[in-house]
Amino acid sequence: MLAGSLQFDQYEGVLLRNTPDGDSFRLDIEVKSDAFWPKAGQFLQVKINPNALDPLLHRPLSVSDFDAKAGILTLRIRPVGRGTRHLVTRNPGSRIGFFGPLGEGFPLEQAGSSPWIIAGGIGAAPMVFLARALAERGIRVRTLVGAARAADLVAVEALKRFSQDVVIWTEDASAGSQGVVTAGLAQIDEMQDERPSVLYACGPVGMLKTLEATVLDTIPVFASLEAHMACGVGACLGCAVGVRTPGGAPNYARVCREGPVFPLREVVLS
Amino acid sequence: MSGLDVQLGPLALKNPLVAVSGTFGFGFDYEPILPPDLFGAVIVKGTSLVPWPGNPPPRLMETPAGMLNAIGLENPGVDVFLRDYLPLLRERGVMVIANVVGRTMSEYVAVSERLSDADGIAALELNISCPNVKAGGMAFGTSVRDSEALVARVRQVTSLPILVKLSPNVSDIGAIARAVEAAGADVISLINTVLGMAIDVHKRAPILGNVFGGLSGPAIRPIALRCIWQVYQSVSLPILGMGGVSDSEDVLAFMMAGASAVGIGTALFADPYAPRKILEALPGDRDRLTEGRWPIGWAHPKGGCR
Ligand SMILES: Cc1cc2nc3c(=O)[nH]c(=O)nc-3n(C[C@H](O)[C@H](O)[C@H](O)COP(=O)(O)OP(=O)(O)OC[C@H]3O[C@@H](n4cnc5c(N)ncnc54)[C@H](O)[C@@H]3O)c2cc1C
Ligand SMILES: Cc1cc2nc3c(=O)[nH]c(=O)nc-3n(C[C@H](O)[C@H](O)[C@H](O)COP(=O)(O)O)c2cc1C
Ligand code: FES
Repeated sequence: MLAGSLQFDQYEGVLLRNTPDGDSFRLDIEVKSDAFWPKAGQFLQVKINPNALDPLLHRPLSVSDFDAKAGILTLRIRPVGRGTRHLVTRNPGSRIGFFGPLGEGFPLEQAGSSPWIIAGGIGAAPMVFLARALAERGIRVRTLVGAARAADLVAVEALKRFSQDVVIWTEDASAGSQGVVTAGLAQIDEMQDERPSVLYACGPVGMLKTLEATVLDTIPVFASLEAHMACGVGACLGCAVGVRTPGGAPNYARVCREGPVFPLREVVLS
Repeated sequence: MSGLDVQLGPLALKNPLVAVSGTFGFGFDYEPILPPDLFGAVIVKGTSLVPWPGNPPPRLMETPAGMLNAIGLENPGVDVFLRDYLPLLRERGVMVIANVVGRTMSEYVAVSERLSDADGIAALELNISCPNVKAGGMAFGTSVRDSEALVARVRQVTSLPILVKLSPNVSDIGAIARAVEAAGADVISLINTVLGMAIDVHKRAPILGNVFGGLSGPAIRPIALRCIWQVYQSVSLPILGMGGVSDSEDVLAFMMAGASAVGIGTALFADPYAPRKILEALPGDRDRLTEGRWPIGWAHPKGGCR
């Protein structure tokens, strides 16, 4: 919690392309700055309407991908409310203000020899950048993605580009295997050489709870969590998530600062 | 930034803009874009005798031009503040005001004593107005008798200037102000957040873990102005005004209502650069609107209480 650990700034990017991607949208944004250097799993606080007091707060969005050479930032946004709907209707050429990068990213050094990514719905957003980062380190990753139906799947092509293989699950069997994405872990205890060294997870709380109940005893899981945020930098203590304590006494961490990525066994999902 | 200095009772601030308690941590979370020494003073997060865990999530909810929070005064306790943060703030020459919270009167007194022994604290702000804790907090600040007794007891253990932070959630804010003035307060700061709540229609249940939360931001600005106005008419103590301040005209408006200095909190979340913009615009706006002077109390009719 001490000073000196933060490196963020305010930026303004120009929207190059706004493309539908499953049930979400992919926004490619040109960021002309050598200082912007996000890590996989970090997020940005994105301004919705710079000229209005309403909506007041920024919206936290993951860096879905960053092409450092081209200076192109990719966001993947699922329109769920006022702010996200506003963003996904922006036209190319419009300016998008944000500050970041914020939070602690995925621990790449813990990947081991055979990391897996598991993503539910828009949880695939930060995983593209993670898969890119692993690939750039020469680490081969298996990626499991799930959604309600094929048309809702997000970022599949991008994930394929950086993963060794991508396994798809849909609840209505319209693509890949039928079931929720965690079904892909059911046989994990019988796996020998193929067993994941670590799981990087992002998705709905239900998915994380299933991971908690099924694999937590055998495989380290690093999960990217969500919380409503005000400051995004650690100042307001609004984004609390419960953390486990020896005696069970209540204790909280800040999703924006200690997170958004946490070892799953250390947090109390609500 | 010269020429913006202002006197807040016994405190000489280099500019009238104060980072309020709870939205600026212990001063360093915004460091890359907002160093703590930018402000005339920094009021740190509410600090208690022992660490408080705070309320269960969710703790936040955005509302029209505002937000509800129910943090529950999570803080690492006075000893951690003194050990880990105060030296850094002192090093940077920040005017530090410590925000004091407690569950009982003796806890307020004990925290105040600990803080008074430390080197580098300019003043204490007694938070008797937090709506988000079950005991203490607002329970003191809504009773004339308790407010007076609490301030009187802290007055006995400290020679530091005492700011008393008032709640807008009372029927007669002037009466509370008079009571804390009589008990020896040096400055009145206001307003703390306005009690509110939000409901999730799908879940048919309150959204915040604590059910109620405190409303802050531009949405409460008119309430803040009204409370400052009433307190200015009721007592002769200087006022630190806050509640929804977002730009430099707001600063001047709060001064016209009676504030000697002005706090900024929630506006940081909407625009972390707001304090810089305010400090850049203030000299020009002050020249344009108030002949280059601080317009403290100017909106009051002549012959008002001061
Ligand atoms: C670290 C982090 C990274 C994220 N990355 C992405 C991403 O890459 N792509 C993406 O589409 N979304 C992402 N989200 C979620 C996104 O922030 C929310 O969907 C967004 O803030 C909702 O804003 P809104 O104005 O559209 O919705 P609102 O009108 O504010 O609310 C609509 C619904 O969304 C819920 N909601 C509001 N804010 C949040 C929030 N911060 N977290 C979770 N639920 C919320 C509300 O309770 C409500 O049910 C991320 C969240 C976090 C914390
Ligand atoms: C997230 C949050 C946390 C707060 N924590 C404290 C606190 O610890 N002590 C306190 O006296 N006031 C606290 N407040 C109240 C503010 O200091 C201020 O009085 C109020 O928010 C009105 O100002 P604003 O509209 O500029 O934010 C908090 C406010 C917010 C939004
Ligand atoms: S959002 Fe303010 S501390 Fe995390």
